[in-house]
Amino acid sequence: MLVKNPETDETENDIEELQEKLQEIKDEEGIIGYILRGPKSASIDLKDPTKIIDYAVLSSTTFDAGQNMTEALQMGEVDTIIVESEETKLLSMNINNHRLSIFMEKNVNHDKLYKNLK
Amino acid sequence: MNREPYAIALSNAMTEIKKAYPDIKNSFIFTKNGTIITGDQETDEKTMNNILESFENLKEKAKAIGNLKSFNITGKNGKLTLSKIKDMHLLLATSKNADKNHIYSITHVIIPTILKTLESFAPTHLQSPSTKKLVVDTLRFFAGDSVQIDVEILRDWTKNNDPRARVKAAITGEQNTQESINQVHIETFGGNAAVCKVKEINDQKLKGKNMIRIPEKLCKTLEINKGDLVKVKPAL
Repeated sequence: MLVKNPETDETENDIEELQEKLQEIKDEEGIIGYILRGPKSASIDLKDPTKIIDYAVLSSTTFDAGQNMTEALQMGEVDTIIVESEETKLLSMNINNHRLSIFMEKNVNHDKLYKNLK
Repeated sequence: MNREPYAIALSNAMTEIKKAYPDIKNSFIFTKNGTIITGDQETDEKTMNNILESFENLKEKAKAIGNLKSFNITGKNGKLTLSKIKDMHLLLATSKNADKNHIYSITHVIIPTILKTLESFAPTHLQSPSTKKLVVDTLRFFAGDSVQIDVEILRDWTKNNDPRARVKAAITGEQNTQESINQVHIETFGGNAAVCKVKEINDQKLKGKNMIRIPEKLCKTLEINKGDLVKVKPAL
């Protein structure tokens, strides 16, 4: 008989739900793509595949910088990080033990995306 | 440039801002080259350097999306805002419930105004007498690699300001002049600098406007644009 672990099931369902939301988000206007990294796997969907490595490095560096800075200033665990350049924006956040980075054009409302994902 | 008076003025301004906005817990300002100009007393140097190191690394990697303009973190116990203001970066760490409008006012209105005011004082209080603060105008490609400055400024520089030379000139009756200026030292407010050849401005319409005309290529190297202010002095 197969015994299910309710906690694991709940997390897996949450991740499936998150991935469904990301599929919808990636088709929205101004969204460049996303990187979702879990403890065992990662999914990347970017409009320009040539940028995968650069964006993956930026995503990882953003989380590291966020963690270092919040630790140094005793600000507690990181909730969200926003990195902005002249034309592009990056929203990074932790969800269910996964690191999510969404790349978008500057005019996209990242607060709305955050509320939809949390 | 001697940055000490600049840093003191900025530090005083930051202290007053902190009094007015108690939600600010930590704050410091650094140049794009990573030199800390001023910081509040609660943030020790080790913490500032630690943050700076993380930021420099992020800035490098963020080139994948263009030049980094701002960096914001919302943590469980507070917010961190890192904004680019002209050639500087301002870091503000606030309580989680800090008013967004207050932070915006500080990063987009108050600090830029203070920096601009301090820069406008710079020629009279913070610089050596031979240094001129000039407005940048760009020279298009094929205009050569020399910068152009008003002939009056070049003449002024050729007068020797050394008191001993003045006395000597008075005694001997010789002209109190140095050799003509062939090169100038240009420094931006972000700390970038270059030495280059100089000529007088040849466009009649642009004479007497306290302007320096710089080839576009050099503007890019110095990371300056038309209308920016730069400090210029003779390279002897």
